[in-house]
Amino acid sequence: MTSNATSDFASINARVRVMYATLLTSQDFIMLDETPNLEALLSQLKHTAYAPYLERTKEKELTARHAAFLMRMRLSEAFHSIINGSPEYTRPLLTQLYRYYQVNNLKAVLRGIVTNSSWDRVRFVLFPFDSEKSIPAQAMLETGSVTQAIELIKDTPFYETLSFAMKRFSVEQSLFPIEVALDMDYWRELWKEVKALPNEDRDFATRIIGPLIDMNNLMWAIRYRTYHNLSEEEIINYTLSFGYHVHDENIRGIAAGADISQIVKKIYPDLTNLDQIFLDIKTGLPKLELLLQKNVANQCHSAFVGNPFQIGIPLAYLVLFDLEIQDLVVLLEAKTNQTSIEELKGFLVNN
Amino acid sequence: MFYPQEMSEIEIIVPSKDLIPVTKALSGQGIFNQTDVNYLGNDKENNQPNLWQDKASNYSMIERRIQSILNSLDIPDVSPINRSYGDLADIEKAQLAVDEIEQQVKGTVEQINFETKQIDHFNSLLQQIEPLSDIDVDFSQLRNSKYLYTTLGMMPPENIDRLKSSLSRIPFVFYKLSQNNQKAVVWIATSNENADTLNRAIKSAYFDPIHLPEDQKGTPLEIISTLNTGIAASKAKISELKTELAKIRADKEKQLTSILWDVRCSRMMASAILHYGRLKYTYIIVGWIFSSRVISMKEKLRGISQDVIIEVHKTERKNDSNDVPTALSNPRLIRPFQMLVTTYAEPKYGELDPTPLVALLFPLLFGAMFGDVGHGALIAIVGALVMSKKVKFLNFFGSLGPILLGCGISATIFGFLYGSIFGYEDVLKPLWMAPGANIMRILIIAIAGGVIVLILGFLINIYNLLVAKNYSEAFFGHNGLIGLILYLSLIGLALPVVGTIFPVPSAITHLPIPSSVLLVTLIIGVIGVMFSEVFQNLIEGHRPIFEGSIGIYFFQAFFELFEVVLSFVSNSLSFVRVGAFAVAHGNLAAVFFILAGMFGTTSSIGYWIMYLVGLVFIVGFEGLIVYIQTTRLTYYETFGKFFSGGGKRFEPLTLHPAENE
Repeated sequence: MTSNATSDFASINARVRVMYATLLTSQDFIMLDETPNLEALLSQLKHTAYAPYLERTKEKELTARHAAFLMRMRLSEAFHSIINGSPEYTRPLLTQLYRYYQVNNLKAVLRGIVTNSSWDRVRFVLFPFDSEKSIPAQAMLETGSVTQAIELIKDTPFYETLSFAMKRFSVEQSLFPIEVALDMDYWRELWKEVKALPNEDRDFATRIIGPLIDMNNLMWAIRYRTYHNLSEEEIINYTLSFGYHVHDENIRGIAAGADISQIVKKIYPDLTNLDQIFLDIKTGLPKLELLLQKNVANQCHSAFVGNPFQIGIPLAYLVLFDLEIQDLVVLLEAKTNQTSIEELKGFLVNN
Repeated sequence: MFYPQEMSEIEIIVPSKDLIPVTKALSGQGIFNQTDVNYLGNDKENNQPNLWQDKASNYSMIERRIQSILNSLDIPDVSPINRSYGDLADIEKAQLAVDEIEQQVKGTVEQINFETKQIDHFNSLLQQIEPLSDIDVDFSQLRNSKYLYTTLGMMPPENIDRLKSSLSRIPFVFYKLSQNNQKAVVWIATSNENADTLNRAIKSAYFDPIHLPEDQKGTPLEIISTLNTGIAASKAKISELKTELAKIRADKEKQLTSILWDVRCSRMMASAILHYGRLKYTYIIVGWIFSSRVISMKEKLRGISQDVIIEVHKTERKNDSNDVPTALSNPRLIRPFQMLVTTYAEPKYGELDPTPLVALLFPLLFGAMFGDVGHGALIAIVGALVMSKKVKFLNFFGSLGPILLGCGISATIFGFLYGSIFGYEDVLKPLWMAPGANIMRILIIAIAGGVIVLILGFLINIYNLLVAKNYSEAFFGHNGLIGLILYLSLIGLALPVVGTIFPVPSAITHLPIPSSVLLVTLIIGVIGVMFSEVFQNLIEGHRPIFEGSIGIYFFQAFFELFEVVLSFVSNSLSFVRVGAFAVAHGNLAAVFFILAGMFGTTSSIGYWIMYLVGLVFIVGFEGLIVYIQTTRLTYYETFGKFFSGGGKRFEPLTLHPAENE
């Protein structure tokens, strides 16, 4: 740890630790799980750090979707605060991490166009960005055409990323090639930013971003094989060649038809219940994803132990915050649909 | 001045017939901030479709179509600023007019687009084939090979390695013919029986095959020549078509801009009405208005409509009044400093507006760090020029002009106090002291000044919290009364020690308060800060009073106290930079005098060139650093004590595009 690292990260470390303390505890989640319905859940959430955000809208207007949108505002503000307060050389990585939500917004708008959804239906699904950073979502949706919508983001880096995918879209009329191209580009750029960091920070960032990339890459490969029945060549081309613990040979093994459970066990020897999950791979996949997410969350929590002056801490906090919101969205949907607590717990990272 | 404009929530029920004049009246003076209440009235009894939704999207669609036509005709989208606006534009009429012009323009534009695409296509083929120009092979023959399957195409360069890797099961030959940032042109071959596997793989690698048209036969050189002829023909055609467009532009420009203006005004009006609540025969308008303008607005609205019902609720300044928009209201002189406040955060409605404090503190700190009659005057002149907007290259300073002027004047005054002019320390007699000759003294004065600023911050915070009835934070918050007691006790006890090390007047180091009293207040402060959460829980009635076990609580409380004391020390010492910069300013000038002396005597031109370089460096670079330090002291050390922000900016309803611009 150098004195430079200390001065670079002193302020952001303090800020993130305060923010980390405001993450919901398992006790909070138990109380939220046990609420009988959506109204009770929202009222319980108003006793948490989300209160000022949920209070931005009148109670009767507060639907599950709207509440999720408002809660994401908190995450958006956390990103702004952390990016602005972090050392200059770490900002490209943090900004790229933040771009994840832009990619998701873009995918949501394109899905909205394909399914002919109204703006009112799509707007609260989107992540709340500043007008400067956001894509012109409403105008894109109103074009009613994927091709015309993409023309509206001509001045963004997405346009270049999609130049080849759009040719496939025009032939296949499926969003699959577009979404894959966006995902692959996003994770490649994120990894590039991790690798561009100085030595020590690179190691810390790898410990947070690496498991995220592993999880996505592995899940893609398994899904392409089990759900989409893609060929070996296609699976290889639609996945990433790099990772932290998931290596290219693992992905190639899955693509070539090797036993998935053996590969997963080899990568994650500490994960339990894998045998049960692989009894029926199709129904077991969501459970596997949840286990991997918990693994990511554990990695993130462990970043807060040890050297406090490093990039892993803000990254870990942002990932944990995202997982928390993901859980809250599950809770909101579950309470809207009157799902039982037991059933619900199978979908929560923080249970 | 010390609080944002007083706001009242206004609810207006207006009959449908008077909707438009009432809307116009509300937008007229920039005093009404609309609230979206379109959910009001959307119940089962009133399930008629909202026509304003359709109107707004129709106007929006026509506006976009006109913009597209303007763009095709190369007409700038400039609104006639002084034109008034009447009633809503007739959608059908506007649509008909736009249809007609679009029809005329569309065919020509489509032909231009076709020819442009043709040129792009030819150029793209040229770009791909050019790397092959040395190869004397007829591509069409290669394509018709009996045993070999080949394909030529483009793909993202970052996918190349992965593609090669995915083809490991089959024999193949891969050539990268050219590459730029976005695409690589490649040629791949395999045996005919592996064609399916190859096609599957290249498709998933986003390979875009180049299909040379049937008529493009021959060697690459021959194809290049044919493509160049095609490009020249398309360019000639485009030139002809553009002449046609110029004629249409001359005929239709006035008409188009006129329709655009009407449609844009109507779209803004429809969008505003869309946010109203809607009953069967009436509309409900809700929003915020300056309390001082309520009566005049009521009179105006009643003058427009006899049937309008108006209800006004005055809003208290409470801690949770986050929904109330904030319009800062400061005298003209200090208004430019609002920008410094809102850049940090928008004050809440119930919170003291820190602008007056910033207007005083910011120039004071800047002047103290940059005290020089000449340099200060130069900054003041730049500020005045920025404000005048007469010097174009200074426009990038934006609205910083008045702040620069204020800082420049303050630096000039401090220049007289320090006896410094353009870096010369021996021309003027200091009215107070020369920082370079009194280093310790100026540093201690800077810290003392900082202590005063911090105490002021504490007091403002306590006042804010008391007004907001947040008594627990006011008394037991770290920046509340208990924090202030601890801070003052620490200072009182530290002063005699400071007096033994540094030359501080004994009147300051030996306060007329016995140290035993200070010790008691220190203990009160320590206990108060350590158990602030407990006291706050007691006041607010929160249970349990202790979270977790007592042992862990004590452990946390100790570190909390440690952190608070550390922050007091660092916040206070942070102001030492004010003195340090005052000293550094004179020394930096002295460095440039030495450098200038290396180029000759004062009669040589080299001396003065170096002096000028120094002047630019000091005013530009050091000025910027001092500005940043002043901002830092204001934001972190001062605002951090009392200003939370998070308010909602007052955004008046606007129906006039020119105002919007």
